[in-house]
Amino acid sequence: MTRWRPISRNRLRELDGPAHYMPATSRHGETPGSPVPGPHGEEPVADGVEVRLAFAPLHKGAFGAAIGATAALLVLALTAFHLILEPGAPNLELLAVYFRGYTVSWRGAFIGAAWAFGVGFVGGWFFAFCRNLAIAISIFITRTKAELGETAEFLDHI
Amino acid sequence: MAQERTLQTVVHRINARAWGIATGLVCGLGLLIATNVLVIKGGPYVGAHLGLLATYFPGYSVTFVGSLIGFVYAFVLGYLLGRVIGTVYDWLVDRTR
Repeated sequence: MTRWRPISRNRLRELDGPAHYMPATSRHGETPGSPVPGPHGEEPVADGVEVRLAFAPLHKGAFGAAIGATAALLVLALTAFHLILEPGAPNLELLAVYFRGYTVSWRGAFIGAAWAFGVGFVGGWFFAFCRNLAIAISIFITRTKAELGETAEFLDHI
Repeated sequence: MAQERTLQTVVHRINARAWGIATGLVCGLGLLIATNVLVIKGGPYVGAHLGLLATYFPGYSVTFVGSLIGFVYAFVLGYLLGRVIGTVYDWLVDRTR
């Protein structure tokens, strides 16, 4: 199986810098568009497809469902704890303010779990959305900077 | 193509253990800091509400020693929650791919 080595942010920046600008005439026999070795002659770390995959977005639905399931499990476990081990939980009843129909009972535990799943799903979905948006913006900024960096010498050639 | 598939498998999943440790640290440090802020602030009733956590975390109290005990409990709970999140996410992503 292929092993993928992790790459630090500094190393990425190093690879992204002007050292990687490759004019039409090749330095080491590469053709334009081929993977470029690192500044110290290392193997190329990533090509276009790999970079795209490395910044793969979170699956919003799956993440929302994962957070929702965990929240539901937590509410179920907390309620069950009070029903089995420590009867009488006046403070846990306060959840009914947000989760209509919730009570510290077995029926209420499942109602609370359903609410928690819903709230967790929305929260998780939104978190994944924000995370994906942040990644997309950072990629856009990095790409724009790289493109501007590549054309920085344009005026020198006129 | 095979490499791409391997990378896809690695990247599209999240590391359940790393998630466990991360959420554990967030929960643990959150409780540690919250407790110690209340301890430092002082007052007649120090952490009357936060102290209710002792119902779930036996041994926890709104004191410096209690904050350390609470850190351990919260870390373990956070680790389990993070682990569940990672495992469920990976399972769902595998099913939808």
